[in-house]
Amino acid sequence: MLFRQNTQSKLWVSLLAITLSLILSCPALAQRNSSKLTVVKNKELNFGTFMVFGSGSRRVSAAGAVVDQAVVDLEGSPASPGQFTVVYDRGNAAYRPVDVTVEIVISAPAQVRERGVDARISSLSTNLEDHGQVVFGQAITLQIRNCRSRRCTRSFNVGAQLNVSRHFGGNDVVIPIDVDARLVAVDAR
Amino acid sequence: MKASLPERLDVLILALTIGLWPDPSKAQDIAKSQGQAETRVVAPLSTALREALSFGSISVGAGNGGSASVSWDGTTRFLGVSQAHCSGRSDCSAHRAVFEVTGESERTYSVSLPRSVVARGERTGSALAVDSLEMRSLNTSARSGGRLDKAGKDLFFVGGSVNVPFGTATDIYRAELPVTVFYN
Repeated sequence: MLFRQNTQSKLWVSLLAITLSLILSCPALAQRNSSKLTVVKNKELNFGTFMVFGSGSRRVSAAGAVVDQAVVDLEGSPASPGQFTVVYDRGNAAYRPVDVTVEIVISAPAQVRERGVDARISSLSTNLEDHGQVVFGQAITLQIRNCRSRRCTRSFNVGAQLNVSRHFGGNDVVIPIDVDARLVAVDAR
Repeated sequence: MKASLPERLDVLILALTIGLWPDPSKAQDIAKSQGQAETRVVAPLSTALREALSFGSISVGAGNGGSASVSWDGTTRFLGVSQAHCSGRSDCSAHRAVFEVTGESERTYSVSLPRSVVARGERTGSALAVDSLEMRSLNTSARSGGRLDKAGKDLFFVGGSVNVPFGTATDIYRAELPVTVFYN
């Protein structure tokens, strides 16, 4: 009898040890609680193609409206706002609804000189509520409400004004735009 | 006899629980993405007249009128008029207009010409109609524009016709030819 009891105990221990090893060796399960925040660039902020005699500006709103000053629109890729998507992956398959709060900061160099063309970007705008007009470096709060799936997303558009001074010739101008995001809170509803 | 759980089961359950518990060190709560603002700034077009359109020195025969035509490719045609014999290339001879265009390389442009213009005699103020104005570019065969080459340059040529009625006063006739050149 004692021999049988010891045998069964060893069997239980072995089964549990095997189960534990399997769980910990499976990457999906081992990381199932690793929440992850990412920002994806969907579309560049495009000011299109235009001709300028000396200096001028073009403003592209977050909604896509274009306002020109002293520039002439030309054939080429059309002006359009940039778009980014914030992705929150809660890291597990739980479907408990949560509100996710993310803080984002958009930054860009104040001025870029490409050969004979100086370009300055200003008047940043987004289509996020309460953040229609913002400045570079300003913290913007973005909420993903009622997140019920493993991955929840929120996209937003970015517009701005580009001031151009042309000293000679013409050129393609590229200004990098950084978007930094930080997870502030995940609140159960 | 029922099988009993081992005494160390509580330790195993604890280990299992710890293994599945959320690990704060694995959470990634900051993210970064880089996009860009992009644009193409194009230098304005520049157009310069290299040679004016000229019908040369012509005369009409007694009792009738005539016409003189200069094509965009430089060929001339005279009907009912006689052309003066000119030595070398001068204002005396008929020739097409030549314009030089500079701007952004490989970009196309359009040229707008009037349907006709009126030339006025410098001395008499008499009018002569100049019509059938047409152009061609050196780089393309388009009828209303051209394409700048890799160096951002092109030439275009303008031809036309002048009608000389019977009784036209002897004079030097000049007209302003407005030419509008713009990017497509």
